[in-house]
Amino acid sequence: MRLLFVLNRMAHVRHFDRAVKILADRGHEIALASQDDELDLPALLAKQPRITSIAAARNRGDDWTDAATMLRRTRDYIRYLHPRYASARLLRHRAFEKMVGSVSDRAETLGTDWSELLLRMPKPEQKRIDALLAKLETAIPCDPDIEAFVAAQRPDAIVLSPLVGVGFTQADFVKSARALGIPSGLLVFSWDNLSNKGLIHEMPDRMFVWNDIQVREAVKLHKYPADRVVITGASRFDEFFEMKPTTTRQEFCQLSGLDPNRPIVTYLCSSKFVAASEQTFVSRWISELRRSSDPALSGCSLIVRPHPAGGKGWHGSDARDLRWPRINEKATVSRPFGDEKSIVMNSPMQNADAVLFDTVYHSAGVVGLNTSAEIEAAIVGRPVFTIVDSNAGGQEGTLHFHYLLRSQGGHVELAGDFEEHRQQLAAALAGRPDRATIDAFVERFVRPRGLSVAVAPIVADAIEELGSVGRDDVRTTQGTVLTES
Amino acid sequence: MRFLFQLPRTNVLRHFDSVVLALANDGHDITIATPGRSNDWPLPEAVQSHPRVICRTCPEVREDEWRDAATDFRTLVDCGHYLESPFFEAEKLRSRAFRTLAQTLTGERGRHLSTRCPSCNAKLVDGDFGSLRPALGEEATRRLKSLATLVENAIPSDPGRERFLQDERPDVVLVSPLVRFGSEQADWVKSARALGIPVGFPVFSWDNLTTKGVVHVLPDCVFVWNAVQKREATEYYGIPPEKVVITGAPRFDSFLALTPSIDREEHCRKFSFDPSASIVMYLCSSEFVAGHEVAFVEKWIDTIRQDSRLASCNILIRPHPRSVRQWADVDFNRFGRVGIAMSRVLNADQSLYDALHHSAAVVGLNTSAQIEAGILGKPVFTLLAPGFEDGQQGTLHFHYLLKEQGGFVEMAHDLDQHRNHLAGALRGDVDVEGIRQAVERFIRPHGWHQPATPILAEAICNLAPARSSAVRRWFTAR
Repeated sequence: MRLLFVLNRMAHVRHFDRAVKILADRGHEIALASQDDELDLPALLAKQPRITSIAAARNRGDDWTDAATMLRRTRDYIRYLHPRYASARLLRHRAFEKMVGSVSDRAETLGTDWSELLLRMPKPEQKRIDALLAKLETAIPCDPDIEAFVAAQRPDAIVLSPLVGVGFTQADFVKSARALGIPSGLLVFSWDNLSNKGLIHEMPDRMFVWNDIQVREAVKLHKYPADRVVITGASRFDEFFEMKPTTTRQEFCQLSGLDPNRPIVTYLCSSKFVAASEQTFVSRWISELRRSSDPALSGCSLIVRPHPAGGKGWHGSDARDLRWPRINEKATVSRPFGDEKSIVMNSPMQNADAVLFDTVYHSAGVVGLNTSAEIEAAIVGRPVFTIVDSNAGGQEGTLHFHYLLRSQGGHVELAGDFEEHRQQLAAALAGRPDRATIDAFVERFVRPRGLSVAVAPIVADAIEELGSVGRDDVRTTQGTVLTES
Repeated sequence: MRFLFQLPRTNVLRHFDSVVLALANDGHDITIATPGRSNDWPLPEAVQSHPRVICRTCPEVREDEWRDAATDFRTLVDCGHYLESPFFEAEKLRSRAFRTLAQTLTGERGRHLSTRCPSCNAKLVDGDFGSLRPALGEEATRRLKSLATLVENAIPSDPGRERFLQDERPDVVLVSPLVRFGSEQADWVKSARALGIPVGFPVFSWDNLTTKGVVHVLPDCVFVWNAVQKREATEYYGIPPEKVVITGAPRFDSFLALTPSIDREEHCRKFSFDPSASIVMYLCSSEFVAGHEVAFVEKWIDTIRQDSRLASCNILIRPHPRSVRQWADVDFNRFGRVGIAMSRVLNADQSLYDALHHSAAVVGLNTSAQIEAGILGKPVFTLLAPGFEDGQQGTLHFHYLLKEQGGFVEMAHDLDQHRNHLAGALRGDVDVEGIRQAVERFIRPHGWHQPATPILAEAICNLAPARSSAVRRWFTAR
C-alpha cells in the first residue's frame, strides 16, 4: 500500500513516528510530505528505506489562495461566537486576528474588545452565517497544483495532521483526495486540537482520535459522523510509557543541586498562548508556597520546567549546562528566583523527554496551569494540581482545560486560591498519591484500549483500514453546517 | 425580436415605459417579467393594452440550494462596498447597507443584531454597525473584491430562471435596477448569460450607482444617463468602458413633452397666492435622505419670512411623493401665502410641471425633482442643513448637481447665503442657458433635442444579434 502523510511541519511526525515505522515495517511505502522546508526525517524513521520525505505545497497556488484562506478563517472565527465558547476570549481573539490578517495580508494586533464585537449575535444568525460559509466552501474548487501533487504520489490513502489550524490549507489536500477518489484520514495531533483550533473545513473519511472525549468533540464541535471516528489512543506517549528513570534520587538531586532529603514539587509551564505572563505567576507561586504553615511544603525543593516552545528568558545568569547520565542529553539548570531551593531546569527534548520523566518521577507533586506535560505526569503516576490564574486566558477559557480536572473525571486537582492550593500540595507531600484515579484517567484519556496496550500498532491498523476504503466509498460531506440551532 | 424586461416590481417600469412602447411599436415583442406578488404599480394603459406587450410572473427566488447563500453573500458584498475609500464618509449609506444585512440574516424585521461599541461602549443595533467605519486599505479591498468575484463566478446559474428564459426565448434580457442590496436580479443576468442571451442593464436613476448595492454579475451592456454614470460604472463596479453606453435618461422624455396645463392666475388661486408676488418652491426629499423634513421646512419658511427681500413671496411646498403621510396634518397658514402641493405621481407629474413652471426659484435638499426644475430652466438652490449632512454631503450623487461640479444647483453653506441666493433669483439674476447646458449634460448628453427613449431603444436592439435602427426612425417620425 502507498500511504501519503501530509504534515504541517515535519516535526509533527513525532506524535506518530512509531505508527509510521510500523506501517513501513509491514511493507507499506510511506511518503511523509512536509509543508515546511524541513525534510530531514527523525532518527527513528531515517533508516527505513520505505519511508521518504517530500515537500508539499504550503498553500494553494491558484486564484483562490487568498479567498479560501479568508473564508476559512472567517468560519473559524464564527465558531468562537457559540455560547460554549463564551468565556474563550483568547481563542476568539486569536481567530479574529487571523481572520482580519487574512483580509489585510499582514499580521494584525488588535484590541481584544474587537473580537467580542459579534459575541452577542443570536444563534439563528450565527447558524445562517455558518451555513453561508459552509456553502461557500463547496464553491472552492480543487487546487490544480495540489491535485496534481496528490495524483503524482498515487497513494492508496492520505493521512493528514493537524488539519485544524486556523485557516490551514490542509483542507485542500482532503478536497483533492476526494476528487481523486482517494480516502483521507485525520490523525488528531493533540488533546486540545478539536476544541481550540480551527474547523475541519473538508471532512476526511476517517478521524483517528485519542479517546471518547474527542469522539464527542468530533461529533458535537465539528459535526463529524460518529461512525467514521476511530478511537486509537495517543501514540505519542508510547515511548514515555516505556521509560524508566535514568537517575537515582541521589543522582538527580546532585545534578540539579537540590537537597535529596527535601520533597520536590515541580511546576510545568504552559505555552505562551495559554499563559502569556507565567513568569510573574511562578514568582508569586513560589512565595505563596513558602508561606505555607506546613514545613514540608514551605521548605520543599521547587523545580520549574519551562514549556519546550518557550524556554528562553526563564534561566538566570547562573545557568549551567549539564549532561544527563546514561542518555547523554543536555539539560540546563539555574536559580533565577533568589530562592536557594527553587530552580529552573529543562532539556531541549520534545517527546519522551528523559529529563522531564526523571523530574516528574522524583517529584511528590506536579503543578501546571494547562499543559500536555500534566498528562505525562499522570503516566508517571504523580498527582497533579492546578490553580486558577485569572491572567492565563488559555486556562479556564479553553474547553480542554476542564477535561483533566478531577471534577470532570480527570486527575488534576483544581484550587480556587492559594490557600486551597497549599492545602492540596501539603496533603500530597504527606500522603501517597491516589494511583487508581490517576491510572483510570490515563487509561481513558490516552490508552482507552488498556493501560498496557501500546497505541502505535492500533494507529497503524486504523490507517491500513483507511487504505482499504474503496473509491466508491470516499464520501462527500461538503457543506456541513456546524452551528446548532 | 423578443425583449424581456425583468423587474422586481412593475413600479420600476415607470422609468422605461416609453422605451417599452417604442420597441413594441417597432414590431418587437416585449415581455415584462415580474414576481407577481410584488407588483405595486399599474402599468400605463398604453403598455398594458399594447398587443405586443405581455406580462409574465417569473420566479422570485432561486430554486436550488444556493437560495439563501447567494442572497446572504451578495448582501455581505454590498456592505463591503461601503467600506471602500470612496464611500468612507457615506455613513448613512453604509448604515443602510448594514441594516439590510441584519434584516437578511435575521430574516424578519422584529429581530435585531446588537452589540456594544468596543471604543465607547455605546449600544449598536443593526445599521449602527456601519458607524464603526472600519475602513479597508487598498490591499484588503483588492483581496475582498477578488474573493467576491471568485465566489460569484462559482455560484451556478439558477435552474428555475433558466427554464423560465428557455420558455420565453427572448433575444435580449433587460434588468433594472439590478443594484438592490443582495439583488436576486444578479441571478437573471447569470442565467441569461449561461443561455447565451445578451443582457442589458438600463440604470434606473441618477443615484443608483452610488447609493445601492454592487453589480454582482456583469451584464453585456450597461445603459447610463451620462458621463458621470459611465465613470461610476467603470470606477466603482469595474465595468469595462466599452460595455457602457450613454443614452441619457428616458424617464424625463415625457416630462419634457409636457406643457403648462393651467395659467399663473389659476395656479395662484389654487393655493391662495398673491399673483403679483414671486413663487418659491420647496421640493422635499425622500425620507431616506431627509428623514422628518417638516420641522426643517417650517424653520426655513420662518427664515424666508424674516428677510425683507423674500418676505412677500409665495411659498409652495411639494412633499416627496413617497412621504406625503407626514404632511397630512401640517398647517402653515400662520405664515400666509404658503401652499402644500401633495402628489403621489412619480413620473411626468403634470402638477409638478405646472408648479415648477410658475415658480421663480426652487429649493431642495437632495432630490430628483431638482432635475425636473432644471429642465424647466428654473434656478435651483440647496443649503447645507444641519442634521441632514448624511443625506446631502454624505452621498456622492448630491455633489453631481452642484454648480461647482458642473451642475446647476447653487449650494449655500448657511441660511444667510441661501437667502442671498434666493433674493438674487427673484431679482431675475438667473443663468438659464447655464442651467440648460448642465441639465443637457446630465439627462440628454446627445443633445437637448435628442430624446433618450429612442437612443436607449436602439442600444437595446443593438444588443440583439439582428440589429435594427427602425425604432429610432419611428420615434423621430412620431
